[in-house]
Amino acid sequence: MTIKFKREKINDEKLIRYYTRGDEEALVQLVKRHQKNIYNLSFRFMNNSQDAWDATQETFIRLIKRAKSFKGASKFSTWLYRITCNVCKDILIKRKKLISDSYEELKLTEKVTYKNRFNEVSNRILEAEETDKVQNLLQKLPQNLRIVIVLNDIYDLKYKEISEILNIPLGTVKSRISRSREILRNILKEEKEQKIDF
Amino acid sequence: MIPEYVDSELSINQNKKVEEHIKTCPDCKKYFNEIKGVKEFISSSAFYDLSFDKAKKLAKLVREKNIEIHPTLIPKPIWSRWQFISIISVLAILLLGVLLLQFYKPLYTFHKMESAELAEDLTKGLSTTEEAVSKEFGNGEDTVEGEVKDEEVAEAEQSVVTEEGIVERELITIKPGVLVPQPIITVSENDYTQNYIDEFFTNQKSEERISTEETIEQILPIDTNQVLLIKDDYDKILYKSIKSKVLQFPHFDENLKILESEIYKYLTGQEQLPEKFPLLIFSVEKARFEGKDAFIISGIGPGKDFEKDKLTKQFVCVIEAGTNKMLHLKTID
Repeated sequence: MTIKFKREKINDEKLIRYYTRGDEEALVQLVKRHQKNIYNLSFRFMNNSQDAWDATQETFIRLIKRAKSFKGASKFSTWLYRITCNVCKDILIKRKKLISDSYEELKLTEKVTYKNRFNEVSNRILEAEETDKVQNLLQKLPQNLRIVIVLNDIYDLKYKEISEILNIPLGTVKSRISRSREILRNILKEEKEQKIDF
Repeated sequence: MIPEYVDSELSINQNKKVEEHIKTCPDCKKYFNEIKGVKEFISSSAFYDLSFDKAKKLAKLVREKNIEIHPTLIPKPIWSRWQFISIISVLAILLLGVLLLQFYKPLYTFHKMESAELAEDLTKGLSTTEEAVSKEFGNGEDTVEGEVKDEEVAEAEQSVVTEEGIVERELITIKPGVLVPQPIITVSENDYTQNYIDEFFTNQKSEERISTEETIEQILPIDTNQVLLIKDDYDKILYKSIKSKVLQFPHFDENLKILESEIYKYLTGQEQLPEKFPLLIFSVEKARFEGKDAFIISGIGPGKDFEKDKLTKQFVCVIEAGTNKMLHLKTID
């Protein structure tokens, strides 16, 4: 006997439970449902499409690996965003290390080929197309403040949820939000004044 | 508190306080508007989404990784619970089947036993009648008629045995007044229809089940004092009924009496019955016919050229039990 049901109508928490019991289509449904949010969050974090894509992939791989560890204490989306944030952080830490390593290598060789330069430039053009004003503004914030404001303003998450996702105290969330708001307010103010000057 | 107010993270009381304060304090109102502007600006941002190709890639990746990483993570498929139930149910059905078979077997053997007993009874009956016949003949040896009959029967017996070579076939002569073996009545629960009987009858003909036609022809013309009990190759017993003997059958005597005359009339087309007429009844079967209790009788009788006294017409007829009304009659030449 088979029971037909529409996975589209089932909530995330149930779907992940189905997946841990062997319903692989439930996972596909979860991916379909959250890929946009995850990619967007990664993009805010990483600020380029390639890294965002990598982070998205890694997030879902971790989701598959850790599906069983989801106990339903928090909302599934909160849990998934936490994974995303951790993935992004991990990637950035690795990147920093890589950059420093490659910088040392460059120092040693002191050669930058034309091809590399071209790639760099073309990448930047592509990124510029994809990013918007908001993203440019957010880029001016330090990473830890940026993610808080993204989660709060773009994802409409409550302070409590943000503290769960980033695994930081509620007070820290509050202070980070007010700090980042302050910075952004000042930047916007400056831009306005500059516009008036023109 | 204003950023929290903007994010609507305050309690109702705190909200009220901030609202009242903003109304009175122009600096705070300005600050509130700016913060609100920042929030609106950020939340107005475009939502980055995966391109179609990347989404497709991701789905593929998830499916593949799923298999690569996770064979152990997947605990038990949902259907495993059903699997258990289904195995149990299959076993239960098998057990039930075996039990039913156990119950069925004795019934089957009982049925066999019954037929075996019937056969025994028949043979017993035969032996007793044979004895009776020999006694009868022993008594009536002096009469010429008896001698003639005896010779005739002997001839017939010889011809049957030599030409056909079938041991099971028996030929018995019985004088009137001697008890005849039990009538051949098979009881069936079948509800026959006219079509079924017609079909069955023609099949029987085509399969040459009634293969004794020739031997009957050899025996005939039948002495009316003779009762023939012949087993054919299929252990089907052919019984020669004679008007005088019919009376000795319990339950069926009246029925058969009327029946035989009716069948005879029908077969020959004659209104007046001769005093003695030859008619072979192969079987009498009690059955349901088109919803009525009936006897299905099959046999062979004379055709319209009855003067030759040869049995040429096979027939099967259905007579309603109780009323003796003929429901169906079919003949084949």
